[in-house]
Amino acid sequence: MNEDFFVVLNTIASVIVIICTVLSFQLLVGISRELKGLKTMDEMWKNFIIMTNLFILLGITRAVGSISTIIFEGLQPVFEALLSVTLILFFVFAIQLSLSIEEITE
Amino acid sequence: MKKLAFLVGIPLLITENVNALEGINHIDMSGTMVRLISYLLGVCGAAYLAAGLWSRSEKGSESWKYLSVSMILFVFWNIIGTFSILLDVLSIRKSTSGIVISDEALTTYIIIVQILDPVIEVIVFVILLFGLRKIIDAMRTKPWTVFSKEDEEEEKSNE
Repeated sequence: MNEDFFVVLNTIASVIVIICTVLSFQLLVGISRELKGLKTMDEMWKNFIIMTNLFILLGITRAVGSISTIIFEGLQPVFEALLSVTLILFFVFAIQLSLSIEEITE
Repeated sequence: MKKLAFLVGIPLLITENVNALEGINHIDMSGTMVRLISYLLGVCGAAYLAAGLWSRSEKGSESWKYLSVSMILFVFWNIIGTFSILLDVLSIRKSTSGIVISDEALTTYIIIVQILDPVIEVIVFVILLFGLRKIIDAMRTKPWTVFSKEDEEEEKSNE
């Protein structure tokens, strides 16, 4: 397949992901504002906000990485390292969130 | 003290082996290993979270189901990422390590991975956006429905 096809596909996907992540971040800000009204913020919601923020960061890193790699290929290892670090942090907070969800469910 | 020395020695030995591999195959093996491990951790974390969110959606608001589906797709995205790393290593090491695989098959796999990767990425974040919108709508209109389904059902029966 043509190399240009993948460049266009990746660019379109990255632009859509950046738009979605920015909108998701705005919604997350809205959720945290709603939670501020509560006297005590649940541990689950804290973990939920951190995890979703990391997830959004992951999407932005991946999208910006794939666009910048098209422009300058030397940046690829930097974004790959950032992606790995974010994924490891995501793993930690995903486990914490599912543990606190389990506590609430029980 | 011996135990401590042994425990410290293990990572050093692994690093040494990885450096040796790097020298032989001309691949950044340490970086590749970190990427591979992080993708596998991502698979584990997202799968566990998807299960938790799904069970939450069965007892509470349906909006958690969107996030659960997003996490399930994220698992697939990580699996595709893992495959792409393995294919990269395979395509570089093919000539040196004598692995028997046709060029056509390898190219086809790489093309499938390259197409699926951005497509799944987009679907994951679109579903996440809808899920978050559903949750905030539920929090603003009927906050009690976010966690309990019973109240919602009671309300329906009262109506």
